[in-house]
Amino acid sequence: MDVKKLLIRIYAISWFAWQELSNWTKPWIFVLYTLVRPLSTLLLYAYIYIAFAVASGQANPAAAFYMITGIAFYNYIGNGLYGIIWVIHEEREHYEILKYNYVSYPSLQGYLVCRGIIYYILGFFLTIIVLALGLPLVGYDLTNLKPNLAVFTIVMLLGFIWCTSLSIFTASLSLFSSEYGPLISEGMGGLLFLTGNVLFPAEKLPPWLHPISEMLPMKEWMDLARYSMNVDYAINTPALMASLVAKTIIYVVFSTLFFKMMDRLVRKIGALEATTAH
Amino acid sequence: MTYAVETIDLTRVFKRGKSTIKALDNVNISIRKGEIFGLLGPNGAGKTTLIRILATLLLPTSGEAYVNGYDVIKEPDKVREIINIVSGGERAGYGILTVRENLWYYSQLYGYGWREGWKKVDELINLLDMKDFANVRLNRLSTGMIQKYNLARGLINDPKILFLDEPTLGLDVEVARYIRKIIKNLVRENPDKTILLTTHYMAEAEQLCDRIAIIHKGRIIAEGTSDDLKHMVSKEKIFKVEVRGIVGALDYIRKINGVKALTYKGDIVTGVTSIRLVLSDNDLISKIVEALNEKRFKVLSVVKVEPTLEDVFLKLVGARLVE
Amino acid sequence: MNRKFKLLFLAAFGRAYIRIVGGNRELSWILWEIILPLLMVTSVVYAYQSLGAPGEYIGFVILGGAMMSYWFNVLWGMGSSLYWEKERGNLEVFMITPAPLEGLLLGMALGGMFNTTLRASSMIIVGVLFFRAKFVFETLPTAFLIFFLTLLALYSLGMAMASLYLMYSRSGWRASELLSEPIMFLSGLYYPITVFPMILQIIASILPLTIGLDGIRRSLILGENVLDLTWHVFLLSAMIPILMVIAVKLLRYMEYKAKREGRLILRWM
Repeated sequence: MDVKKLLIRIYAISWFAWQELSNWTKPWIFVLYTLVRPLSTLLLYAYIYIAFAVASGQANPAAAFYMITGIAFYNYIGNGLYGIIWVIHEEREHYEILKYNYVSYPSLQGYLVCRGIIYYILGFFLTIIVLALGLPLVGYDLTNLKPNLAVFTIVMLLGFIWCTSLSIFTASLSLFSSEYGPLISEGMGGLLFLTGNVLFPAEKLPPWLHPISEMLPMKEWMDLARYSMNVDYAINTPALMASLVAKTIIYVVFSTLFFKMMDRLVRKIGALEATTAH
Repeated sequence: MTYAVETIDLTRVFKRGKSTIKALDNVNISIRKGEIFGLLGPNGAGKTTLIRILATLLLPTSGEAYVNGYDVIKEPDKVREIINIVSGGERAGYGILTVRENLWYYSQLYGYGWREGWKKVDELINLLDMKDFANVRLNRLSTGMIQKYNLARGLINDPKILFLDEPTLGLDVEVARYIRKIIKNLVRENPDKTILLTTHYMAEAEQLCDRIAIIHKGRIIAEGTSDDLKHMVSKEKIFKVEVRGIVGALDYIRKINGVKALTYKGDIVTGVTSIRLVLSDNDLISKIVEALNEKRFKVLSVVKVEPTLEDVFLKLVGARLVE
Repeated sequence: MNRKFKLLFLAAFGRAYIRIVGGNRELSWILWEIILPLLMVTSVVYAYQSLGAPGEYIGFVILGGAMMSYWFNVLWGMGSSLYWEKERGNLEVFMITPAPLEGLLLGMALGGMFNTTLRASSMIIVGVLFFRAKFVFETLPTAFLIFFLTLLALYSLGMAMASLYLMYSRSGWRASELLSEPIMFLSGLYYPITVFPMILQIIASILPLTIGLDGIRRSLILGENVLDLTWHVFLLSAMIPILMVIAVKLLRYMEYKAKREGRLILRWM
């Protein structure tokens, strides 16, 4: 493997992803745009807790911590998911350039992974900002936090790997639906949001949704992320970590094989360049 | 007299960041009703910019433009009622809808109403021989079929003035010939129709147009019938010389007194270079052959040719129309 | 003037046809348009349930989700549709016809409303059947009045925002993205705005969606009738003509500016 060539490619694709994300406006407007949305989302969901606190007349710091960390860390996953899945739709429907990128890079899968990198970096910074602003907003005392940097690093890395794999799997489905790429991304994001211990424990869901929750690595990842922020957060850390690692490996293998299959199939039926407009 | 299209000192400047591009520079044209008027020029000459202004999609920086007597700036609504555009090389349309449905939609935009709209659609499908794919979705059509659809869309409102912007671009010979035939018949059968056709294909301009204007870097550099324009170079002696080998810049030939213009094109497959020369005197050709021999190029043939619009362009601009 | 109106309605009809017929040719829309939007709303419902919030909050969330569908239709169905029309070259073909741009936007809005209404209805049905949300159906006429007035105001706002796309394309897209979440928050998507600080409540009340959502909630959850909600009716009625005038003027101005700067026909910007 030519490592230098690979690094050049990764750099070029990441550079392009950054340009596509940011070059539509001046830097300060871009920063504003990047911050306004997640902070508005923070307010939107933080007030769910605040509305409850007003209605019930009592605070619940554990619930506040749970919700805010959920919203904050979801930025990392949501960003990465969107950054990869949206590419197929955009390059095929919008720029009509998918075919050129397809033939110029050794694998479409690799291309998609590279395109997602910038989004994860952005998501990481947004996570930190939302945590820093969100916890005080709901009255949570930041001095109560006892972060574990090592666990945090591992959690971020595993998050990148499994979420990328999940995004690759979902992107392979969007190869067959020229119009609904964005909705596929939204759908997968919504599923993770609902079943992934983001706003509430997944055990609260009806029993028929539990298998979906168990299949996705989001639950374990979220709880481990919370633990990385406060080691007093009571979970079975070794068990969850083992489960997360195992699921990540399965996702990597499955998504790689599935994508190869879908890639072949879409070319067989001649739908790689299919666009639609209405 | 009210012209179908008239522009007076029309100028359009684009600002892109720090740079400025003068796409049109004091363009003055007058197109009579019932004419097919050609605008010939290379890519980037300003042809499409002119069409966009006349179609009310773009405002000029200065100057005036009138379509059928209506000011394109002050009376755009009146202009839109009587014009249409067909552009080449485009895939505009709703891919998820069939040809019939797409055409029906545009009929509504011109105020046809339900029944009249479908009737008009059927007329156009028959006119342009699209029955075989009328009920096929646009995103499944070939380039030639899409261009037929585009032409049908351009005729949906029976426009008095039709702007055809490189309508045969990217089409194969058969479809291009068909489109040209339709264009020619349109005006023959409807003498009140006027067509402004932009192209960089000389043969197309010569075949279709009553009058032609040559545009280069935003300026009209010549205007007249095809014969009028060729007459500009009729006194010139035009020769085509073929040599074996791929030649260099040929500066040594340009320096010969009496060589007015020169272009060449090498074919790396056959290994032959074709040189086109505009000379002031027939006798100069022997000097040129000599000069080529001195450089050890074998001269395969020397032919005196009739002037074409390419030569007109070459004389006026000093470069080929089509590179 | 008659021809202008005729063209407006025909253009709207034609464009709505494209959206409804063309847009629903792939049956997967049932999944994307109906089932998936439920995910976010149900997440919030479960969040409230896990916190032990009062039962009315379920109703708040369901109605908020339903109304938000219409806001998204305005934001994305009109604005982003115009963006795509421009990118695919359809906008310039439309602009050379005598049909007014308002007709195109109205058609996009009406076309989107079909799917949006299905989406909103499914949310309410799921809310009632699955989450046992309780609504006072006797005040349905009042709720419809407020709903109708809110829609008129929203679509005028949507028209104004869509005009940005004529000039700014990608930036307009980003502006729409930027507005999604703040509007969701300020309009009280998941809770009454009385939980906000007073200054925020005043700011939020400028939005027609906030007033409309509050009015619909009061009528369907708290059982208030049109006499109790006169202030809502009055505010929305006052907003509609103002927003329409602003929308039309902005549309004209943006069209002129886009033609002046040659951006109307520019793609990938």
